[in-house]
Amino acid sequence: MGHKNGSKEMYQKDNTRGIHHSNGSNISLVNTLMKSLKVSSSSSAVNNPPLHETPVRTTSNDLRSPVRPVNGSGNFDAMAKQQTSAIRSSSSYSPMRYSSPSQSNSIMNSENNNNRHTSSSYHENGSAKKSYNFSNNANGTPKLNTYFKDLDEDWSAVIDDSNMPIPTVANGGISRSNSDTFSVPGTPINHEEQYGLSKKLTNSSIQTSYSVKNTSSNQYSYPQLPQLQHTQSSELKSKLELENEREAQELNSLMQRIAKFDNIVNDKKIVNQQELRTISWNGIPKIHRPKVWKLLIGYLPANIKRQEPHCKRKRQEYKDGIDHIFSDEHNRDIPTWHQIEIDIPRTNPTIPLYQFKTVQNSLQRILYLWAIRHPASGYVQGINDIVTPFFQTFLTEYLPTTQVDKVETIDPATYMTSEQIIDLEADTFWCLTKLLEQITDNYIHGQPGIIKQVKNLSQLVKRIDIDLYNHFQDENVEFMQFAFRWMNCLLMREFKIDAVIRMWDTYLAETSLETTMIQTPMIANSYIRTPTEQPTATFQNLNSPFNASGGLSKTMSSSADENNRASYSSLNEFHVFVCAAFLIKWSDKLLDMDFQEIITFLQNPPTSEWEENDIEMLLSEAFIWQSLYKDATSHWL
Amino acid sequence: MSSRKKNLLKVIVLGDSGVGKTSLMHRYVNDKYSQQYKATIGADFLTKEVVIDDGSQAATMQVWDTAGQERFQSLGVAFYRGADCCVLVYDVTNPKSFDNIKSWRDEFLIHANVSSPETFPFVILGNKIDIEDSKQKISAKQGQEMAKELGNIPLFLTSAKDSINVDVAFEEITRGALQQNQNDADAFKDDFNDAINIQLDDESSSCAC
Repeated sequence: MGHKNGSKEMYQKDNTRGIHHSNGSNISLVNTLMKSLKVSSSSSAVNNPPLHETPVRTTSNDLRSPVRPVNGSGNFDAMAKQQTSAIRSSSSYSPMRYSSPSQSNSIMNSENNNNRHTSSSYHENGSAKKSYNFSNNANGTPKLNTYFKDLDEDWSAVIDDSNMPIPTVANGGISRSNSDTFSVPGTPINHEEQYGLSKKLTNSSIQTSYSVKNTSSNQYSYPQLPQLQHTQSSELKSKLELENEREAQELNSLMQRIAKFDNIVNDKKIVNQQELRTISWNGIPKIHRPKVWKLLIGYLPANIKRQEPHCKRKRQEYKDGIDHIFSDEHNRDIPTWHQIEIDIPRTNPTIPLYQFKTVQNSLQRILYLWAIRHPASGYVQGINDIVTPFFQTFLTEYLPTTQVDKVETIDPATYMTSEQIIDLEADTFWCLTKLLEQITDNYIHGQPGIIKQVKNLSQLVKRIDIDLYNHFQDENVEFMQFAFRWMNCLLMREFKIDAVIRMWDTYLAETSLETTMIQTPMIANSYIRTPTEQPTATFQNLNSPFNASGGLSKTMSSSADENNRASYSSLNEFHVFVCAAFLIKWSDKLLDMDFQEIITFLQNPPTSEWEENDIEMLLSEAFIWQSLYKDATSHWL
Repeated sequence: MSSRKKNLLKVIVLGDSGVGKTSLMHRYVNDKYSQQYKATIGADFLTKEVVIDDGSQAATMQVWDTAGQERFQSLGVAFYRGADCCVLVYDVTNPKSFDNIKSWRDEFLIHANVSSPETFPFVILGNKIDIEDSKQKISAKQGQEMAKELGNIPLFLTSAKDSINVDVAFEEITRGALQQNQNDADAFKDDFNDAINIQLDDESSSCAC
């Protein structure tokens, strides 16, 4: 039963993400998995009904999970079972380890025969990992066009349609050997004209926000994708031309993406939350981020008309709260105040922004007010970290576009009025409140949420990478010894703030819609909850009809799936999968280490310079693990 | 395993938030001081190779530098278990942190499940003595009285910032840990440090459907 559920979830989630298109089969690590499951992924490549949805996890590594139930849903049980045995039988099996370059090659080669299109990442990065195989027939374009008829809402498809197929490859395609081929039907259309001057502004911000990187930051290179089969020679194309095309295309992607966000956020009476979630999962353009975050977390109402009055009211509410705690009526909670006071200077101590007195005062107020309004939890160290992405992101609303990238170095007092600062604090406060509502159990007495997550992580690793799990056992490594902080600070300590902010695009898109829809009063459920209760059912999909129906409703409609997914997706749950993906990345290294080395490594992982593309890779891997294991996890507990 | 364990000294550092535990550890391990440490979450792990007394023996000291906030105490057991020495830190400018030393000690004894609590080696550090005298609230005398009261625990007044008494204190810590380590080795022929991993139990409780 568990397997069945798991597989269904897989199906469902894929659908909801719109990941699976008939053209969507990608060379992916998942194919490795599929192979190990003895499931031919080629059967998943074609003949699937088009999904009119925003697709696409634009990851830098074709990781858009092509896991798809074969022939509808028939093989679920077998898949799940085989998967387990396959994983166990292969001692070194772990497709997502960094240094297992050769494992998936043969599989990928066989995959190449599926006509496949990889929509270009709007980032230019991670090129070393990329492989594009647009079509194997001499003129791939017609075929591709048919794909796109099925994908008229697919932004990236639209882009690629117009100047298809130009691969996005950084470093001028250095990683690709000259035997690589892609068909290039012509020069790219200049979309700058098409989108007019109004995009000038965004251009600069895009350029910076999606900092175009030519450096291949992937020192841990993923399996080199196999040599692609040629049909047309691309050797004629100079690297320079390719570079230009790529840049142009990338710019297009960004514009398209921004336009898409524009549409969702501005051009409708009611923001389509689901659409917004789907598109946000893959990253939010900087200029949209503050507003989109507020929408995703449920602070801003979806109804455009209600947004302003709502905002105004909430800001006033915050102001009243602040007035109160600084009035005589309020007896200051000295220990809490003191704890926050000593933590503020230790919050992001290397970023100048957090050294400004203005900022420190703001954070002190926000955290203190939150703490006394949520007495069951109170202030817990780590919340001071969690507040900063909101604060920093919302700050950019007040900066001129050209200055947005300097947000970490400019004192807000120099460009904001004190009223604006209070408004910023209010927005930050409410969004922090919304987020913490979803992970209350992490911070109440005994921190049951974290204990549970750590336990889930260990169980997940046991399933995914038994070698690593056993090695930890042999070395007496306890997951609590390194993963506690991962949970308590949502991995924020492991990455620099820019990367964290990108990660949060996805995390906030993963927050439970149900919860965010509920307008909870200021003193939230923290009063009511006791440590033993589980408000946001992590790993326990209580709302899932799948569990109830024992897997009878296999052919649920996509939209029903969508709603269903939203009703029980939870941040904590996804985070565990992210942590698992994060841990398994280092599996090969860790297997050679003893206790001391393991703990030292995991407490100081070499990820402080990770860029957005590294984060996206991680998120994609987590997504895959989630789609494979999600419902199964409820049976471990 | 047991042969390797002989040369492993497990040390745990406890004390209120902000007393300078992390700074002290970094001063000892790396001989560095920074204003830029983030608040410790859970526990940080540091190691240092130490040479014992006459130089005849080398050992590796593994230090768990724990978070000071009370909320984190529930996970103490993951870090306390198997400790050979416990370092209690207070801030000489913060009376509350001084008052809490006893409860930190008790907290440790409850969670660590040590074989003989009476003889288990503790060391107390009164940190931040670099700060001007007028701001120091806890005198050396008060510190010594408390240390005596708690069972003649060695006390050192330290400054991680100015590197005062840190090395001396850690020599004492090393000595205590080594003694404890050998006591335990004598007491148990088996390697008591091989903790039973309770996660093994999870398997059996999983759903059988």
